Amino acid sequence: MLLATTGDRLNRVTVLAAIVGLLALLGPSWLLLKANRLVAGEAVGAFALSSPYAYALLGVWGLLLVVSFFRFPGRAWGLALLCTLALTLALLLIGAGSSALLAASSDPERARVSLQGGVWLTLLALYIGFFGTLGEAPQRSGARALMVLPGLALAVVLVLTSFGSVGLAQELTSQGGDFTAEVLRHLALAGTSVLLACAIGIPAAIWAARREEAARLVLPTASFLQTIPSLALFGIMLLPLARLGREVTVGEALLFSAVGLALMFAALFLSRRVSGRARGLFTLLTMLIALLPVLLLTVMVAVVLNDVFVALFSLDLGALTFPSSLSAPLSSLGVRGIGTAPALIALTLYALLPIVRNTYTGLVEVPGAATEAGRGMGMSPGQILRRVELPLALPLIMEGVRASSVLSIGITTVAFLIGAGGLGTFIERGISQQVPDLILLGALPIIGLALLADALLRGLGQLVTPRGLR
Amino acid sequence: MSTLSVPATRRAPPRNRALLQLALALGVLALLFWLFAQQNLWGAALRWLFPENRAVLFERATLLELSLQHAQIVGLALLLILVISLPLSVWLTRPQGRAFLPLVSSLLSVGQTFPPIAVLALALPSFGFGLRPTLIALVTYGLLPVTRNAIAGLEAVPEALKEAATGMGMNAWERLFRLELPLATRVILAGVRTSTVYTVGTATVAPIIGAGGLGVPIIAGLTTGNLAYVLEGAVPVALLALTADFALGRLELALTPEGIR
Repeated sequence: MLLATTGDRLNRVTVLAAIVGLLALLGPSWLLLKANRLVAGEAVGAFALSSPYAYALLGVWGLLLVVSFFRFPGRAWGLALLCTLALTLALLLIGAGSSALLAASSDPERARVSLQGGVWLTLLALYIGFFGTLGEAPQRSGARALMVLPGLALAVVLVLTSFGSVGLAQELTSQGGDFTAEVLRHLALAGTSVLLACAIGIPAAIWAARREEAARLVLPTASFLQTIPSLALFGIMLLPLARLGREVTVGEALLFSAVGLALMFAALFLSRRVSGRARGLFTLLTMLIALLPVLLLTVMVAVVLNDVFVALFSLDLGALTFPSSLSAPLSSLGVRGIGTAPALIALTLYALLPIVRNTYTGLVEVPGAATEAGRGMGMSPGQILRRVELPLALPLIMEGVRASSVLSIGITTVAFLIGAGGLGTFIERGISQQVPDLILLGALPIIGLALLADALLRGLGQLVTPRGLR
Repeated sequence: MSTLSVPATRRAPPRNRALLQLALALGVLALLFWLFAQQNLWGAALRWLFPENRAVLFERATLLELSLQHAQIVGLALLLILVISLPLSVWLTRPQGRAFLPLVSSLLSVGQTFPPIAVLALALPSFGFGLRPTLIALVTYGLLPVTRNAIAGLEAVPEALKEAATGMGMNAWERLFRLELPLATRVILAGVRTSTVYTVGTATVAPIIGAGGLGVPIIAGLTTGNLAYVLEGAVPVALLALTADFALGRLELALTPEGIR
């Protein structure tokens, strides 16, 4: 665990939290009132809002500062309570303050209230505060959860009930259904690419762990792919994908993939009969022949899978449309130079590295004694892989899946540049209309989704850890 | 590791090899920018790919100008990252700062979930268009790999060596500069390498907020539907990222102290 329990009397981390919180509260800008969305506004400090919450918050930060200096039994609970209080008061202050500002403005219908530096700094202080509290909390996960979760739950309720007059919420209302649609598209893009990366990366890593020459091919390829900037990858794929979508029909593509796959399996079957050095050459040749058909099939699967995800998430299976005939061009399936196809390919290629690297490391680090024992029990190589090696490597594999999910959710942001949508759409709208709140409407959910995926997959990783390894 | 078993006469080659690595790194970089300077070559290649386009090369700046701009943005960002992250990591691994180590690593990994475009966009209102918001976004994004590696490298210095250094009469500063930092160099440079590759890639989105670089033709091409522009930016930026990765890999080899190579 990262959180170290300190034996000091002084909790330096919560002291820092209190100082940052006080600075934010006493600073000049907490909220910003603008006569409408586009004009420049005037910043208002927390105390200028003449709300009792500001004074209460001042008291709570002060108390946190004092408590951080004196150690007593159960101080962690005291710190947790103070942080929760500070969170509640800060949110109430934002809600009440922005309603007051709106009500006092000349044209409440069109006026907008934006969150300013003080608010963001307060959120930072709260993060530091909770972090410092957990640092001296008992190591039991139940107690830790009890210190943080009530505050988070309260925060969700408060944001939902009292943030109606904050500009961010107003942008959300005005974007309406678009917002949910883009969140779903974002999740579908990131989810599809991570799934595909697993489907490609895990077998590749197993292969690499088996044979050293495969490791020399697979690992550098995965890191090479991650070196290429995403925008460059989009650009380079534009032309071939556009041509592919225009000039090849669905039927031809399916036939091509089927022939390629058949050739690959035939060659794999035959390669068992070839011995010695010729075998390596044979495998390489097969892979070269199969590469294009397999890539084509992967792209088609990716596009269809993404559509299915979007339809599933939005509970609207009727929206799924498939090309009516095999002679329709591939572009009718969604394989075009612009749109979801290049986005999915780029995202999948980026998602590969963490998965490949972790699976490989996990498999290589399985103790020899464990596989030896499996062999002694009469297991076949396949059984050893499935029942000994993969379970033991699973925690590391899950760690790779987690890392690549967080990465994918972040990179999907640039998908709007090639017309694939996602939450980056709002960032782009916000930039072109010069409305910071709209940028936030895109950015905050991305950060939230990344952190959520991080927490969920961390939890899942602990669940799938074999009991013997915990 | 077993340097003792190597005869003294065979100690000489590594130094030469370090110079060779350095020369190789610089040579490849020079070659790349020479290639970028061949405006006509790029024009001819793109014209061959897109015979029917009206313009195949971005008119407002030559490829060399764009790539130098890109390199400048990346270089400045890396400099800032090093200036922030090295003292920070040293402080966090001393007794005075150790209490903040878990907090900073957690904040840095949260910072990396921020999409760089969003950081760019949000820095706009307070810092205006241009270089400054770009640098802020790049630094936010590139800080994690360098700091994480610097902390790991400094932490990995064996306790016994530090005690030996103290026993030789070194004070804390001498120990840091003559023992810990040299031993951590390789790990730190690996972090710098990761950061550089990130930064080269992320800097391509900078034109959205009015900064220059190789992203300019890409974005212009994507918005006007001119694929030739897109390729004019995309291929060089990919080459730049790969070359930077290679060159820093050589630098890593060259700067690793002989004893731990």
